[in-house]
Amino acid sequence: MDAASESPQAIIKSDVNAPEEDKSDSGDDEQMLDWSKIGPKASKGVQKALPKRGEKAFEPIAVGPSAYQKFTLDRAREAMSEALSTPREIQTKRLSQAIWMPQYSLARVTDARGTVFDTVGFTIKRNDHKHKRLELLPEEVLYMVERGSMLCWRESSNVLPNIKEDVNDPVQLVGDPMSAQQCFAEMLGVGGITLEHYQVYAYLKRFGYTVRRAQSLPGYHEYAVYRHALPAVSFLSTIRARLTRLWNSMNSIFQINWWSRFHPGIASYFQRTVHYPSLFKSFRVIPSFTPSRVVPLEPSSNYNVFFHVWKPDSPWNRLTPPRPDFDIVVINARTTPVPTIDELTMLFGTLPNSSYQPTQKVPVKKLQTPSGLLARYLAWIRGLLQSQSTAKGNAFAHLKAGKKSVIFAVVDAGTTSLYRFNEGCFDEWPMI
Amino acid sequence: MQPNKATESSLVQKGQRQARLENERIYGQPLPRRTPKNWLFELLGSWYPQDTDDTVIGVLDAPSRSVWVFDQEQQMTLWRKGFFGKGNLSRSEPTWLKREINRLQVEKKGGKELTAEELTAKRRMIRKQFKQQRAEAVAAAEAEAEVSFASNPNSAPVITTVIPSTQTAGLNQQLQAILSAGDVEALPDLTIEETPDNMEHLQLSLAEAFFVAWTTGCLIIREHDSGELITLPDLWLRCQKIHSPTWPNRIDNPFLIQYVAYHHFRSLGWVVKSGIKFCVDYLLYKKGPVFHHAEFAVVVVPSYEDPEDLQTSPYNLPNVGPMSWQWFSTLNRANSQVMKTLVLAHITIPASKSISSSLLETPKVISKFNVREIVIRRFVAARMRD
Repeated sequence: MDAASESPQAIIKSDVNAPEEDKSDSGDDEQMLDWSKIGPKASKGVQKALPKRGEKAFEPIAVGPSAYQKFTLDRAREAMSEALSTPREIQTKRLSQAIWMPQYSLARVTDARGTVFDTVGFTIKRNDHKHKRLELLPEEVLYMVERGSMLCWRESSNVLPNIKEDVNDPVQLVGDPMSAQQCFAEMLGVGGITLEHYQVYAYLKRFGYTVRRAQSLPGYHEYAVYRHALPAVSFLSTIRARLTRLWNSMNSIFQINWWSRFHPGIASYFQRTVHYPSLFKSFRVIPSFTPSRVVPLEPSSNYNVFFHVWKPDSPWNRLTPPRPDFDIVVINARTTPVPTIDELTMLFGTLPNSSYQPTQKVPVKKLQTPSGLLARYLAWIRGLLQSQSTAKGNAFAHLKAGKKSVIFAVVDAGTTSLYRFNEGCFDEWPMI
Repeated sequence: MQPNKATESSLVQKGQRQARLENERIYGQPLPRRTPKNWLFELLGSWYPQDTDDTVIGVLDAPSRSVWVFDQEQQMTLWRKGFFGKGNLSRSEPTWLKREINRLQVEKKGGKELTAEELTAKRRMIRKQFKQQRAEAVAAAEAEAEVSFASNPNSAPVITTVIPSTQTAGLNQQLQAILSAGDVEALPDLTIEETPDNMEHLQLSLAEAFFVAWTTGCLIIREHDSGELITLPDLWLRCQKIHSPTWPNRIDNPFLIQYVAYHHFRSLGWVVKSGIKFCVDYLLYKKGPVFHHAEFAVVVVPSYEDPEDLQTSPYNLPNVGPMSWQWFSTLNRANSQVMKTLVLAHITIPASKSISSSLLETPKVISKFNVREIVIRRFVAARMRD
């Protein structure tokens, strides 16, 4: 509101990592449902869509019971109970089937229905079968079973392998049918997935995101995982860091007088106005942090990125997944605290720079060409001193987006809060 | 006749622009300034016209951990050039005298030049009136719905009452109208006997006081009782001692931690004010509180480079240990409600083994610290889909 109106800028295209507008803190996802729009009555002839948030009802009026309010309330209650009492059913033509293989902690798909299969699992050829088949990870099976679009069978040892899998005749399928409850009991805790992981997975899946593991499955190179290319440390920046270190050590040798460090020098007599950017720059005596080398987190650390997430509409390929839009760490709120700065530094060390790019077009101030020789010389000196550009326009957007970004999904008994932790870059965007 | 709406809003805009320019003129300088004096330039003084001296005299008040400035003009210097300190009888800018004179003038005749506090009171009054009007409109609409439902229960009730919203009510215009009306009325002058003395002082936190004294040389600090001058090196040690009277100087002295954070953000050009009302350590303003709302809320999170220092530390600094998600969420929730972005400023405390005690005696020691900011945003999955 304030910064934008002061110096209007070209509008930044909303980007993956552009900071979201926190206009109201209670997001759309926390609104009450308008039940009258999803009941069985609503589905007839009405286009099925997610219900919009309803208008909040008026307070009860003081004069006495209102017939109109009672009527509206009763109608809403009825709609809700009807919506909830509808039996959940699925058409047979949309029902997929899979066989859970406990020895691998994976499930192979025997019947895949729908586009949901484009972004799940991986294909693998096993010795006991002559073709490649799609296999699913526990969270993927659970998600489909839970929403009622998949029947899962448990492979059992007393059935001969290589039996013909005729999907049209479920009785012939190998194994026993599994209830949703049995699926939860068997599939959580195996293959590195906990209940918290599954809850985050399902939460994001329901919004339509593509969610995949961020680390490769041990023993399965077929499961393609995007590897972040780490930003190469530029030669120049290494040199600059060394020079700064040298300069600092020289300073300590020559014992700069720290008490009179900022006293205006002789130059101030000849300046009609103070050049504040260079003055404030001289105040910056607390060095910025530069990690000497990248130390990744221990593989067992709770703060490792667990899921890669892509937006619903971004193109996706199973063999060569593109760069994920978000990196998600899953945390149990009761057992794992907020990460320390050392843990965060290790985590950011293995993440790429944020894809949110600053707009390069900063309006160039029209400089008046100084007339006198001395004036021109002074302007040149000033230009040398002012190597760092001051913050203009959308500095706030950059400060909020940070250099790197990671999302913590904090799960407390089924309630998930998502926080974005951005690596700050305040030293790159000074206000003066 | 209704005033033309377009002209009205452009007038408001014009007024706002003028107010901004006026603020720019008054609060344009980010720091107080003092041109150095020596005999050569004293001689040349008549030739060289520039002579700025924003020197301010303050008194160290150890029990309240603050430095007090009594002179009215000096208070305004510190407030207008960098927004340092806070009036002890005001919300921020020391306006007590102005308010008091205004009150007496109103008593004498009537009229107003509003201070920030009075402006807020007016705004609240307008809001309250608006809410009452809205509640009345809502009640009228309900009554209408009731009548309509009783006569015809099968169709949607017809409602003609318009319920005003904050957009349509033009609250800002109302406020602007009150302000411009105030300009017209002349105020009677107070006689010298009637004019009250300034009972207010400006109080600077120790970090603010040291920053002004060190970086600009414009703040001269005296002892509370003796009036003796406190030199800059003395002030540096006193600030640490005040926070830790019984302990020898340590690298994790609470004053040092707070000062490092304060200096870090001040040196980057932010106006840094206390954030205690927002459950954080500091608020960061771009240019200053009269220009913008605070954009960032900073929590100082110290972390020890050498864990042994934590074991031996007598201070029990806040936010050192593992932070629970409940507390983290509290900080974030409170600040996103007021449109501020939470920043965890992690201050790395250097290992005390590497710091000589003589180093602690100069502010050079702050160059051994490190500040790493983590900016926190809520991630709303429903809104990030495209």
